[in-house]
Amino acid sequence: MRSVVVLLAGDSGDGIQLLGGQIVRAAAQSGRDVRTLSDFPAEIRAPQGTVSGVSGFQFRIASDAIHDPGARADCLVAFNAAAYTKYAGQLKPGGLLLAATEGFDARSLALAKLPADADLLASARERFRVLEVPVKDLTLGALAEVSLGQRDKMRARNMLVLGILTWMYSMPAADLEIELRALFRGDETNILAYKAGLNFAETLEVQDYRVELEQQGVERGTFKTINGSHAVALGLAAAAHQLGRPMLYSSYPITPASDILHELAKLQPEYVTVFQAEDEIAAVTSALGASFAGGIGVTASSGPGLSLKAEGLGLAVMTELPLVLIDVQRGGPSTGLPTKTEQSDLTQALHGRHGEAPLPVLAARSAADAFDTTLLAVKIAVECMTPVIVLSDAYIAGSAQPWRIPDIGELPSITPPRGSAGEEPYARDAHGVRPWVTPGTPGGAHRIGGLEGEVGTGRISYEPANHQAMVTARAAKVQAASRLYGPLEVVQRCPGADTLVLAWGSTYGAVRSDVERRAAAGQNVDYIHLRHMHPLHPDLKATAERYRRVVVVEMNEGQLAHHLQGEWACRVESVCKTTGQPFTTEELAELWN
Amino acid sequence: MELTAKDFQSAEEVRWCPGCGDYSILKQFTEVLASTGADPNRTVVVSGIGCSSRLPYYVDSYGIHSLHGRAPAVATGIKLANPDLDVWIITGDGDALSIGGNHLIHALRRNLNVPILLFNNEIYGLTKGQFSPTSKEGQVTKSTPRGSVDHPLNPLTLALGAGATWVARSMDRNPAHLRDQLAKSQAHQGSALLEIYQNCNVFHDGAFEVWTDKSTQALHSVFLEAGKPLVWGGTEPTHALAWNGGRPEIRELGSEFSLADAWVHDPSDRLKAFALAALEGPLRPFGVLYAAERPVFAASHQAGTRPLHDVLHSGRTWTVE
Repeated sequence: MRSVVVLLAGDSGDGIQLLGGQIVRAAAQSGRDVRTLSDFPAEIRAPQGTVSGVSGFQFRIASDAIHDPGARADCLVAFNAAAYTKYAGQLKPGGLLLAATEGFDARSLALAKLPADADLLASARERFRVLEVPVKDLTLGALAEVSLGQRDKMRARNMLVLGILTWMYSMPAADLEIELRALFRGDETNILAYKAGLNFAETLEVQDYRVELEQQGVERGTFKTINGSHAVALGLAAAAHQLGRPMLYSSYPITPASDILHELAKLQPEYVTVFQAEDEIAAVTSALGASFAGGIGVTASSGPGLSLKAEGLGLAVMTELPLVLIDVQRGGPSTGLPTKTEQSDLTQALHGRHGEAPLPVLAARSAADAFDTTLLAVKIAVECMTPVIVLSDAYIAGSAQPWRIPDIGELPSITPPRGSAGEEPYARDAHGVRPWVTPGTPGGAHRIGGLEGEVGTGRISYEPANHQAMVTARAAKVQAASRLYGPLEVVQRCPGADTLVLAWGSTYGAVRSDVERRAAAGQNVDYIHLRHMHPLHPDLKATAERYRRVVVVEMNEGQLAHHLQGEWACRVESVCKTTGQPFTTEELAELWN
Repeated sequence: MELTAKDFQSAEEVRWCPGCGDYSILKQFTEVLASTGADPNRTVVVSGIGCSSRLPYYVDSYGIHSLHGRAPAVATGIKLANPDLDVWIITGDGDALSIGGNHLIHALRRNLNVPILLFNNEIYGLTKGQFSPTSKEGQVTKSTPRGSVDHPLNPLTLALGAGATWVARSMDRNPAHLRDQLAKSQAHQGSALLEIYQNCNVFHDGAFEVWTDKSTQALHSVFLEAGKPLVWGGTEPTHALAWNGGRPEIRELGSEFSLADAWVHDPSDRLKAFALAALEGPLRPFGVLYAAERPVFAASHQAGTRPLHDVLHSGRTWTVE
């Protein structure tokens, strides 16, 4: 297999994320596998030319299936001195530095707080292959006939670079042009710059740097590129379709969860009604109101918003109504690192409520997997009459990959519990699930609320034995949700392995590459990647007990490790970090043996 | 078959303190449900937390006793999922104006199509007697033994400021007036904020006595009717309000100022509604201060006009054979 890792870096206003998105789409459409990693500042337009304002986008293109965006880059595209300064350490020795000439002038050096006489490119030549491209001159030259000011013309320079990279990585240039025409709705400026980049690369300078990657479809089917936010939105639309009830998506803007709101807003009015609430609390409680009324309420947030929603989750647990909450985790606590990734809300998702309030918690492992996980969450919420938390994170939300679009017939069924009048509101079926009698049902009038309800009738009860019975019944109902899980998936199984690696969420790609590398090097390790954080898969404990060592990998200070030790009274080894950045396979290789 | 008030009373034992103003409000509420032909299968009573918020348990319809202050948000979700339901919000001064202030103002500005019944007793009752956002300055309560230093909030000016399309006031001790206002709040298309003076006889007895007691009511209460002059004082009115260059003025009726000079109530005039709402002294208005038309908050559900297949396949796709 061949793969290349490219890191694009420039000002947050340089259009780096857009540039990266286009390349990924083109690469994926040409049958290669792709993974990406975004790294951008929290500010919308951080100070220009400074190191703190640098926006980065890493992608890895491969001829075969890959699971992670790679560690060190084969090529760094640096739009300015600050971008080079920030990311030079991530470029492999001997790698290619594609430097925009104008970004290394005296003014750029000053903005990057470098000495005026620093010759960055000269020192770069000692370590890397350097290709200087006069991006500014080429862009302005290509747009000489366009009647725009220089500042506006310069906005197209990311498209010039796109043209160069398209040629360098032998991407389908004509398809990409069609894509760009649709994106820019007939505005020729960007197309001219893109074509100038292509021509520059093809006819003049870049022959030596071209990389051919074979095109091998990994899987058959129809594909599109998808990121985690888009996947959650489509998963919700599919769930509403399968359920056949109105869906209300209520949320309050918060990074990095807001993109789900944007994606779903585009899908209105079919399948989902989108409500931008006045605050996080209104978002969760309006979603719960929709569920009481017979629809399915969904909300999303990130760390601090999850805390604010804890009160509403308590009511959802008490009233036993379906509800789905998607937590797109970011670095915390507080505002923390709002654009960086972390898995540090696990403990809050599992336990962060008042009272005895267990609920199912699922975790998505990748952008594509977020579709399936979201569907499963709605299924569990409805079929078990319980709130469910889905853990995603900033990395999954923003990273793109090819996704095989499922046929409608492949989607799981979602069947609401019985809902006709005549049964007591808190009567339970064999799985402990109460009926869902919704307003409008003749003869079904009843009252529910936050006060403890009597077994069966749900009428207010402060009886000691009744409270115990209801606490037990709610917990048992949540435990029984595991009947809706598939068989326990063992991602990697090696002969005679005595070590089990356990991970969850967005670490999947890096950990999978790491365990594959270990297996190739003769270190036999098995690997299970958890989707079901609570209740745990019924077969997990017995499986894990067969190993001498259990290594738990996660992006926090050991929250899953603590959880497992509490559940199982066992010893596990914790491999973790909290830097706001995903693991790389290189890192994992060094972190444990 | 026509339903009676009794048909809207649930089997739950009513557990407010003896003598509480909530009993009267509950009675008038069930009578209005019956008289307006409400369908118990489509009626949903939503409340927050507090004494007033226990009301849904006592009404035989659908109901949810939710979280402190959150009833407007819960009701918003209910209406978005099923706009055909008749939803009522029951709240109190602490619930609506303190912990739930944000939800209240946003429900009002959106014009959520629900009546909001705000039981104002100027005290926290269920938590046993702390000052509330409508308590008077200097009011002695358990948490203000030397008198409250907080300036009270006026629910009516707040509602008008938040963009409410219907604002009214009534009281627990005037059943006929309360029934009339409840029916009107239900008939309004949009958010209808009805402040109800409600006596808490345990922690703040007599808070509204001058307006609710038959011996003093006529001297301090102006009952609003559209197109009628703003007068009070008894069967034969003795006083009137004048709109003196934008400033409400109390005038004695007589040779200098006749009934024909009095300010005639126009509930569509928002500026004058503000002036009425701002009467915070001994004279208080009752009835509909303001009523306007504005599109109600709604979201249309149109199931499946675009097949799911097309949604999933939107954007650029490619096929690997």
